[in-house]
Amino acid sequence: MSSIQFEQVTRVFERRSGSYKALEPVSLTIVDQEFVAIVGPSGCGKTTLLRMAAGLDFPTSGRVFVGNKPIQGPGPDRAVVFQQFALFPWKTVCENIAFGLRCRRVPKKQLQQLVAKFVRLMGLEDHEDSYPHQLSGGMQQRVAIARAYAVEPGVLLMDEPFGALDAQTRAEMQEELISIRRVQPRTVLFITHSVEEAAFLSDRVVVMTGRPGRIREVVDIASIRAAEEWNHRPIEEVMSLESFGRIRSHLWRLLRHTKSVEQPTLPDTGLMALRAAS
Amino acid sequence: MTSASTARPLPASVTYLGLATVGLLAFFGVWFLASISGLAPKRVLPSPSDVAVTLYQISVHPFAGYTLGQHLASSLERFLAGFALAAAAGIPTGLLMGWYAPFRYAISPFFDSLRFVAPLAWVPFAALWFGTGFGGPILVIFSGAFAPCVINSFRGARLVDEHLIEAARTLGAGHFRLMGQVLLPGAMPSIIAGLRISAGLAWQSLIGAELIVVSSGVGYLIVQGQGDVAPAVVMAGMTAIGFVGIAIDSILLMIQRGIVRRWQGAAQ
Amino acid sequence: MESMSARILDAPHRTPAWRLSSLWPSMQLTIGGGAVLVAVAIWFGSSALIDTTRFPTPHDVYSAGLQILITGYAGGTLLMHTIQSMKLALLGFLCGVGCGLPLGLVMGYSRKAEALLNPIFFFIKPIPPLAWIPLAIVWFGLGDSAKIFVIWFSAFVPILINTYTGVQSVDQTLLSAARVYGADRGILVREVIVPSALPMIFGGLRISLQASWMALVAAELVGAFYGLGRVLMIAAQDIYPGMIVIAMACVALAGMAMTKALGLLERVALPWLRPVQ
Repeated sequence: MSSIQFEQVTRVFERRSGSYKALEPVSLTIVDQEFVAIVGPSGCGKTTLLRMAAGLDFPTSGRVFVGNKPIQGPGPDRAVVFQQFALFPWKTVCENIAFGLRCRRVPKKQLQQLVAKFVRLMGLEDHEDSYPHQLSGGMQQRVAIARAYAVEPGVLLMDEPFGALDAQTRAEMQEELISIRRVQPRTVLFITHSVEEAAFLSDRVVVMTGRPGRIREVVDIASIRAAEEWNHRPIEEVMSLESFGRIRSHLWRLLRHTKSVEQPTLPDTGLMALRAAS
Repeated sequence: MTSASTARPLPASVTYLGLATVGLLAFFGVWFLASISGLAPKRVLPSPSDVAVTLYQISVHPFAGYTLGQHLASSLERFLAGFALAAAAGIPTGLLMGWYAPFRYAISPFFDSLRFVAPLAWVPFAALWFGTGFGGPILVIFSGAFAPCVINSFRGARLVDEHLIEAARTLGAGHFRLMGQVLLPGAMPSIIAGLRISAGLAWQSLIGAELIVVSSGVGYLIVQGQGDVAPAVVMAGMTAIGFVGIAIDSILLMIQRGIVRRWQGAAQ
Repeated sequence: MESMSARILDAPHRTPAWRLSSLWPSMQLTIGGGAVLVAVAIWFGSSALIDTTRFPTPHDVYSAGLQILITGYAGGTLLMHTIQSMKLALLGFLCGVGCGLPLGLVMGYSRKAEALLNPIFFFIKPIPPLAWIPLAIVWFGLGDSAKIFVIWFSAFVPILINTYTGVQSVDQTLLSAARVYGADRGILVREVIVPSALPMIFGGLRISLQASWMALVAAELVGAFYGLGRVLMIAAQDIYPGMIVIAMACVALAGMAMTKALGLLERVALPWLRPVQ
C-alpha cells in the first residue's frame, strides 16, 4: 500500500528578514497507484510538498504519511526524479542506475539483472558505460528515471522532471512515462508548470495558488482518461480532443485566479456517459 | 533527523563561536604550556607572551639596524615597486595576448617557458646584477607577480561576453571605443582577481628575496633573528609579515568588490 | 583555439589583415617560432657585447651545461643535484598532503571540526611559507629536516583549504539524491562527497606541488650541501652566469615535469570530468 497523505500541513521558513509562510494548511490524499500532478505558479509551495513527501523537508505543523506511516526521512521507498537530473557525474550510466540497489546491498547477480532490465526499458543500451556529461538532457533524464524505477519504489516523486528539456524531447518523455506506467504502475506525485503536461499524464490535477500556498481546486480527469482511452493514444491525438481542450482551459482559468464561469469540473458528456454505463 | 552531512544548515552561530574560541584558547594554551614547562627550551620555543613583548620591543628599539616600522617600510617600498611594475607590464600584455592572436603567438613561447621558473631562482641574477641594491628584490617580486597578471588579464579578455561585443558593433562602435567601453570593463573582474593572486605571490617572493639579497626589510629582520638565535624576534617578525599580508589582501578584496559592483553594472 | 570574441575582433572591420589567422592555423607556429629564432639570433649576435660577469653568452651556457652534466659542479652532477632536490620536494609534498588532505576532509565534513580548527589556520595562513625558513633553521639546524619542514608546511595549507572547500561545495541536490536512494554515511562519504570534491582536491594538489617546489628552491638557496638551489648559489658566488642559466632551466623543467605528471594522474583518476579549456 503506497498512498501519500498530507494532513493539515504547513511550512514556515525562518529567514533573517523574518518568517515566511510557504504553505497554508494543505490536506491532500493520493491513493495507491494514482498519478497526481500539482500545477501552480512559482512559489506556491508545490516543490515544498514534494520534498516533504520525500522526507527531505519536514512540515512546521501537520503530518505527512506514506502508506499510513509517518515519514521519518528520505528513503528508496519514495524515489525522486529531480529537475536537474541529479546524476552522479563520476558514475557511468549503469553505476548510476545501480546506486540505489547497492545502497540496499542487493546481491550482485540480482543487481545486474535489474539494471539490465531498466536499461532496456528506458532504451539506454548503447550508453551503458557513458558518463552523464556525454549524454543529452533527454538521455540523462532517462537514466534518472531508470535509477528511480530500479529500486522498485512504492512511490515516485517527480519534481518538474521534463522542465529542462526541449519541447520535442519533452513530448517523447511524456509518452514514455505513460507506456512505462502500463508495465510498472506506481503511485506518482508529479510537479509541473505545464498545464498540458499535467492534463495529459495524470488522474487528478491539483491546482495551487501561491504565497502562501494553498490548494485552489482538484480536477478529476481519471474517468475521462479511462473512457476516451488517453493512455493508448498518441499525444497529438489526445491534445486535439475536445474534452482535453476543455480541461486545459479550465485549468488555465483556475491558474489565472478567475473563477470558472458555469462549467462543472467534468465535461458533461464524459460524466453522463459513465453514469449511463454504470 | 537523518544522518549528519554537509547538507545541514549552520549550527547555531553561538556553538560555532564557542568552538572557535575553544580552539584558539587550546592552541595558545598548549603553546604557552609547552614553552613554560621547559618541554622545549626557551631558546627554541618562546611563549606567546615573549613574542608579544618582543614585538613591542623591536617596534621601538632597532634590531639589525632599524626598528620594525622602518624594516616594514623598506619591505613595502620594494613590494609596491615590484607589484606596480608587474601589473603595469602584465595587464596590457595579457589583454593584448587575449585580443590579438599574432601577438599571442609571438609572446607565448617566451612566457610559457619563463613562467615555470620559481621566482626565487632569479635570486642569483638579482645578486649579480644589483648586489644588495633596490633592484634585486624588485626583480624577484616581478618574476613572481608578472605571470598571474598576464594570465588573468588574458582570461578576462577572452571571456568577454560575445553578445556584448556584437551588440556594440551593431550600434556602430569603432575599434577603440569597443576596447575601452566593452572589452576592458568586461575583463576587469578577472584582472582584479589576478591582481589579488599576484599581490599574494609578490609578498611571498619579497620575503624570500629578503632572506638572501638585502640588508634591510622584514625578511632580513627574521634572518638576522635566526642568526642571533633569537626565535622570539623571528616569530615577532613572522607575525608582522602575516598581518601586512592580510592587510594587503583585504584592501585588494575591497577594491575588487567595489570595482566588480561598479564595472559589472556598466558592462551590463 | 580561438574564442568568439577574438574572432569577432579579428573580423574585417578595421583590420582585414588579421583575418588570415583563422584561415592559416600554422600561423601560430610560424610567428612563435619566428620570434624565438629572432631572439636567439640577437643573443648569438651580441655575444661580443655582453658583459660576461653579468649575463651569459650562448657559449657560456653551453660550456656550463657540459661541465655540470659530465664533470659535475658544486659537489655533483646535474642529475645528482636534480634528483636530490626532487626527492626532498616530493617527500615534503607527500607529508604535507598526507596531513592536509585527511584533515581537510574532516574539517569539510564536520562543521564542529571546522569551527574548532579554522581560527588557528586563520592566524597561520597569512604567513608565507618561506617566512618559516629562519624559524625552521633555529629549530632543526641547517640539515634536511628544516627544509622538509618548510616544504611540508608549504604543501599543507593549500591542500587543506582546497579539500575542505571542495567537500563543503558538494552539490546539495546530489546529496539529497543520495539520501533518497538510501545511502548510509559510509557510502555518502566514499561515493558522493569524496568524488565530488576530487576536482578541487586536485587543484589543491597542483598548488601544493608548486608551493613545495618553490619552498625547496628557497630553502636550498639559503643553505644546503647539494641540490639545484645550491648550484644556483655557488654559481652566483663564483660569478658564473652560464651555470645560473643552466640551473634555472633545470628548476623550470623539473617543475614542469612534475606538474605534467600530476596532470596525467588527474586525467586517469577523473575520467568523468568534462574537459575544460
